Amino acid sequence: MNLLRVKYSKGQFKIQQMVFVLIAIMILFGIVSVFFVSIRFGSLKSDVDDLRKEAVFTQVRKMTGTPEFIWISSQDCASCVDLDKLLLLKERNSYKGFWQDISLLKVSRVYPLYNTDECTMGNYPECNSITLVNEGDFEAYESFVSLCRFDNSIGQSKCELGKIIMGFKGVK
Amino acid sequence: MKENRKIDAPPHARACGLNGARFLDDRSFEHTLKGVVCERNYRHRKKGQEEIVGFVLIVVLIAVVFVIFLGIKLRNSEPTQKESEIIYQFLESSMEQTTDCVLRPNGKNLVMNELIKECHFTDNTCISTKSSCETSKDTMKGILEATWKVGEEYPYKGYELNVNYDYNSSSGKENEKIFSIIEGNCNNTYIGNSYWISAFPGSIILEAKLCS
Repeated sequence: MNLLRVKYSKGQFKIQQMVFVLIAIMILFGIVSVFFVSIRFGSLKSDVDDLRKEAVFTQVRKMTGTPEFIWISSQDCASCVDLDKLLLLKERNSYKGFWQDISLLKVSRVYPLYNTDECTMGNYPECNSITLVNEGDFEAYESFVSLCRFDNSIGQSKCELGKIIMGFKGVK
Repeated sequence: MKENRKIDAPPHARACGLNGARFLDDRSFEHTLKGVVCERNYRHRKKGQEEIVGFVLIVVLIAVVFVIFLGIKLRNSEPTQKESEIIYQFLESSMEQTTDCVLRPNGKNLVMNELIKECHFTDNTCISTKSSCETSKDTMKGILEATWKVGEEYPYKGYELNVNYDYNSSSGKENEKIFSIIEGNCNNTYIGNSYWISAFPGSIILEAKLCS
């Protein structure tokens, strides 16, 4: 069996050696760069998620501007929801299925809180939440609003801090 | 000499003395030639060692530069302070909160933004004998406590609310503190926002921070 014998000169060995050193340095720089880039852009995904969430919060709050929710008063109040109107809306059968593609639509009081959770005609206004839609299986988003109503005990309108909570199907 | 050529190292390597002990241990080999080969072997090994030392030096140098760069980067890293829409919504909505403060009999209950203005400009006492500043601070504290649960076991470690009155004077922009509420631990990582209430001749600025 004849094997082809190749004779390498000293210069060729040196070149090969240099190539290996250069490759090693390149790999080292590559690892360092990957490490740096991963640190630098690691938070990018969470930043994008935060921005998307903020956009959803704004959209959820826009619900307070719809005729079914809006509080009409002498003072300009963009974030005010008419709680009396919502209680009546909850009882109306004609509004069943009105909010399509929404699996949860609820307003709840944040401050002050009462002992009873869900509002009915019997316990209103000393209750914490009014649920208009609840079909289950949703991802919920919430925004702060003012829950306003006319309070007979003080003879004027009364606003309290609350939240509007909306849940959507299949939103990830 | 011919016997020595039978060993498994290639001829050029043998000449360079890289064939190890078998070649050098040959008793028939002349002493002077042995010395030359030993010298060559030593020189070659020394050269190889120098190259390895050089390479290690490069690696160490790069590592040191990287560590210094990382150290500077981490030391000068900007604290995470994000503007939050939810904080703005919170401030805006809480300013519409109707408080218990009534300034005169049969008067109306003041909403939070009116009460803060009242606190800053006159500090009148409510019918409940509490001052308007006290009522506004207590109500705001109650709202914050009900809204954000803070502490070591919660995602948010603390919050801070600063209410100031800003106005322009002949000496420039002036700032007067109305009240502030601080709860838990607040470091440089937080989400926050500010809300502006018009209060002639200046304005009331609410700044809220939610620390994580």
